[in-house]
Amino acid sequence: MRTRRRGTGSLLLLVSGAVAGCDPGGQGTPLPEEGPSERFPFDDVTTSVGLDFHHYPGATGHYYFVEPVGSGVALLDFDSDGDMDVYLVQAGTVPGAAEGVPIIALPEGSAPGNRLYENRLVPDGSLAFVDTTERAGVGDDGYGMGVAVGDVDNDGDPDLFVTNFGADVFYRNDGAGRFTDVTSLAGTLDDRWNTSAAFLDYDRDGDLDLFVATYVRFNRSTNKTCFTADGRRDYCSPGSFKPTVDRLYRNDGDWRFTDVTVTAGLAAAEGNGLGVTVDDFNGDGWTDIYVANDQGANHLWLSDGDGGFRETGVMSGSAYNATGQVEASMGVSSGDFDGDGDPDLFMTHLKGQTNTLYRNDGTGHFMDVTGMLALGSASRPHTGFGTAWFDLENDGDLDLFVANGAVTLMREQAGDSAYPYAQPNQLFRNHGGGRFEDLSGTAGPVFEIAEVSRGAAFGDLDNDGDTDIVMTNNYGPARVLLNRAADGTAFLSVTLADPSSPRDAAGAKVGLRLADGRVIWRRCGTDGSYLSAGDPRVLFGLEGLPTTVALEVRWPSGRAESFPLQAGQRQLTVAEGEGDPSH
Amino acid sequence: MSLFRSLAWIIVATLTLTACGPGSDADTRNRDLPVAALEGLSDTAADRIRRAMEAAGSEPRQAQAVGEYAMILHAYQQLDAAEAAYELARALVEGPDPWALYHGVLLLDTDRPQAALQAFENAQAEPVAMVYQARALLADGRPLEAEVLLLQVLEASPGRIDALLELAAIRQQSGDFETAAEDYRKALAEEKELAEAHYGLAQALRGSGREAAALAEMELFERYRGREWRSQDDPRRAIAELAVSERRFVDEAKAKLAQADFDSAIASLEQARQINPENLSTLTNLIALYGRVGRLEDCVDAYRAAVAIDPNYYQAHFNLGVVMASIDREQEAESAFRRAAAIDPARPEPYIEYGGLLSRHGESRLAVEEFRRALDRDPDNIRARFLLGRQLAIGGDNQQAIAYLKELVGRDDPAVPSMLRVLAGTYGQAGDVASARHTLEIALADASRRNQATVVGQIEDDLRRLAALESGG
Repeated sequence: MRTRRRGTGSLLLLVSGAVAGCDPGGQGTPLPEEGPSERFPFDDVTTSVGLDFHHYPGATGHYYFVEPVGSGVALLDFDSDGDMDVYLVQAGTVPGAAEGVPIIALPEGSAPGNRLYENRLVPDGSLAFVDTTERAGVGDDGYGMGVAVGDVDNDGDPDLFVTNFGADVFYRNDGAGRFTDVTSLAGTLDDRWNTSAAFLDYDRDGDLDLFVATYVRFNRSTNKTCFTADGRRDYCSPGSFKPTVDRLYRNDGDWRFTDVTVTAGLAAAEGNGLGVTVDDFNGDGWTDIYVANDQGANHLWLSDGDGGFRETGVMSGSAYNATGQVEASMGVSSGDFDGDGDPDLFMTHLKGQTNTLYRNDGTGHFMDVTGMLALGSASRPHTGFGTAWFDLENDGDLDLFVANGAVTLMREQAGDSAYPYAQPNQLFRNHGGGRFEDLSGTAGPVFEIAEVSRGAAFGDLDNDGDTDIVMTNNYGPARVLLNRAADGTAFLSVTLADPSSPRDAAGAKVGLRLADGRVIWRRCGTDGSYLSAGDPRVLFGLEGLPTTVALEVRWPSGRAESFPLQAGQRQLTVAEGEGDPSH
Repeated sequence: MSLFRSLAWIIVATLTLTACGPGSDADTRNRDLPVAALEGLSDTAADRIRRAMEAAGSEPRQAQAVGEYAMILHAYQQLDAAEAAYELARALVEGPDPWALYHGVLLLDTDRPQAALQAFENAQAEPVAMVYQARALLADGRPLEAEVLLLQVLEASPGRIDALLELAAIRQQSGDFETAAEDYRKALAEEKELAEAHYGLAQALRGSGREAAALAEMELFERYRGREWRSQDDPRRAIAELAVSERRFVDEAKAKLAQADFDSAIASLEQARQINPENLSTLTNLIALYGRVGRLEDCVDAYRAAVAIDPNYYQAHFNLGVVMASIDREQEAESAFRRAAAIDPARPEPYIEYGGLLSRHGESRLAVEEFRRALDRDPDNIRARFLLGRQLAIGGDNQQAIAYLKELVGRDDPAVPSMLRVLAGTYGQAGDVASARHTLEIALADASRRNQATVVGQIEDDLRRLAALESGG
């Protein structure tokens, strides 16, 4: 087992300091020549940082149901040098597809398969990405769906689990920038249509287990012919296919996993699983699982603390919307948006539905408060996918980004586009008073571009203490969106260390106690959004907030500790067992 | 902003489409009639729109005709053109404005609540318009005003369900769970199978700390879920009914099929086919249903239409094969099944069905081959295994038959108890009475557990006959 390196080599250590000085740029986006835009919250820096990835779903006019689903993206520090690298999942030709002419050709020079881009911020000092896929050995060329990141073997570096329409792939990080395919060893070989996945320590035995959401029973021969309301050929809906059971794999150590789906009780309910997030929803200290099921009741699997789960979606109020209607449910994010100490849920849905915000009452019971908080009507024209709670301006409350892109024909684009499903993305600011403001109309060029967006990963790419975004687009380029809204603001970045193993303390809850008595809660984890994995570091925005007093940590082991803070502190590394016991 | 190609039929989106009501604006009245993009629409939809447009375009312009044209456009999701047509109709109308309500619904559904409010304010003062006005206020972030309006509606119409539901939702969202619960109960007093009200009441009860009652309401919600309710005067109902849509007829057909009303199911599917002649799913279902009721010519016609669209559509060939097999037209059945199998070699069903036909014709050896092929493709297929075992038994190969059939013991399928009777019979044929009895006892237990009264009776008869055989020596 490798010893985890500290200091600048630490997986979760942030580099403090000024904003990384990279020039802005965006593919086809008109930006002022004088430099980074300070008027808009995000700048598209994709071109200037060298992230050259184009997603290709392989549509040939047969409207295979797998084509519009899209693929995800992960942020991970694969080389443990202190900055977030990017792993992008590619689709490709639909397995077993009948012959046909591609509706859009793969751009010349595009390499097939997934790609890993090394972030050169450390050691070069500026944000730039270099394709290191071949050297790393992670270029799986299956029809890629999602990716989950976690340190499975507790050796201090993140491993990768890639879901495919077809056999999934498990990559072990061997250190030194290389990975090994250990799928067969792990026993997770599964060729169903798996989508989002999440690592969690469901049994609190100190290693990360794996939950995998499965979509529908579908293969090329079961594809159906579907039409729009006005008679045009289009993709079907998930209702045309049968749902499936998701999977839970227990980590038995030494890269061996056991499928405990049935014994853990998760075979009790089927669904069309697309989005997954894990959190302690009822505050009992055990990690629960929430699955966004497309056009079906969402599932809330509450842990019984004894290796089992009970599905409580309907009874918890998180299966349907406020009127008891099933919604599409693609992307999902858990976060404490109202600052009452428990994780709330936000989910993205289809055009014609609203995205949904479920407020948690602290006991794992939820109420749909979408309309009350003005998040409803703005989302109705759009089909949302990747999303997350994140602090846009580092003002201490959680805002929202939604990656949009249609799955049914956009009639007004049908005559002009070979792939008429484009929609602009959205940004919602939390006013802290129980309302959200749709900033999309004034948030600049990034939110004027209409693409078929899908996955989104959130994290601090340039280590300047704010949250940036990497987004994927069907038949489009991946985009790197650099946060400008929080430039120069106060923040605290927390690295959590588990002395029993070198890995990050995934699943830990971290609370920042302020001088006015409030506690801002965040969670250490990489799951959520859509098919994607985010930055595991815990970032607190402190702009305009009272003095910080202490850090409260509820470790995955169940221990609760408190750590004192110094005024003006921007970085903190805490280890379990080194704090003061707290309740 | 999208760009539109210049075609013969283009959406006149560049016309000035203001969000305000047209009032008596002479410019609006003199606007050209908006035209819809008909490219890609089904013939039925395009025909309906053209006829409505012709009526609307006749001089002098009539508000009624233009308004009806707007509704047809609205029904077929030609929303830009529908909006322009509503504005024109409203500019032409003299006196009460019946189109303001529909116009407002379109504006609300396209996320322009403030414009919708202006439209609703000009609508005739009916309860449904006030309910929609309240919805627009809610969408505009003005729940207090919405609440006041809904209370006015309920003062005049105390049992109005849509108003009660909206009011309850407002109260629920503001945390007034007790009053919200009362509102939901009032709605349920008017319509007890209102799933939305049961769900809302459950949430309200939970908010009030009455968990047990909340769970009971959730169970009622689950029971009634899926039954959509809309008031008779809801403009969305009128618009939806105009869209004589393929989906509606397909859904009707499914419902009729569930009642085994094949003729009605066919009639609905024929309507769906008229709207969209290229829907392969509709065509293949018609193949099967025509065959079921003996309309062979229509069956073949639907088949030819399906394969003309997609010669490699598996289901079309398979369904034709089933129909031909059912009327013992062996050659045509074989041809269809072979075609299906060639298209999707992994599927066992073509071999199962053709084997069944061969078996009925006494071609035992050939039937065995077909059933083996089916089982090779899907070793878990219970039906293939059973048919193969049975056919081997029919052919006198008891040992092989038993080897296949005994794999059915313990399989979880409603057909297994009946299948085990054949295994028992095969044991008997092979002289193994003890195994025959044991198999029947297993089958009896399984059939009893599944409440299969008829099968239980048959197995009990088998056991009696077996006992008689044994005692008779």
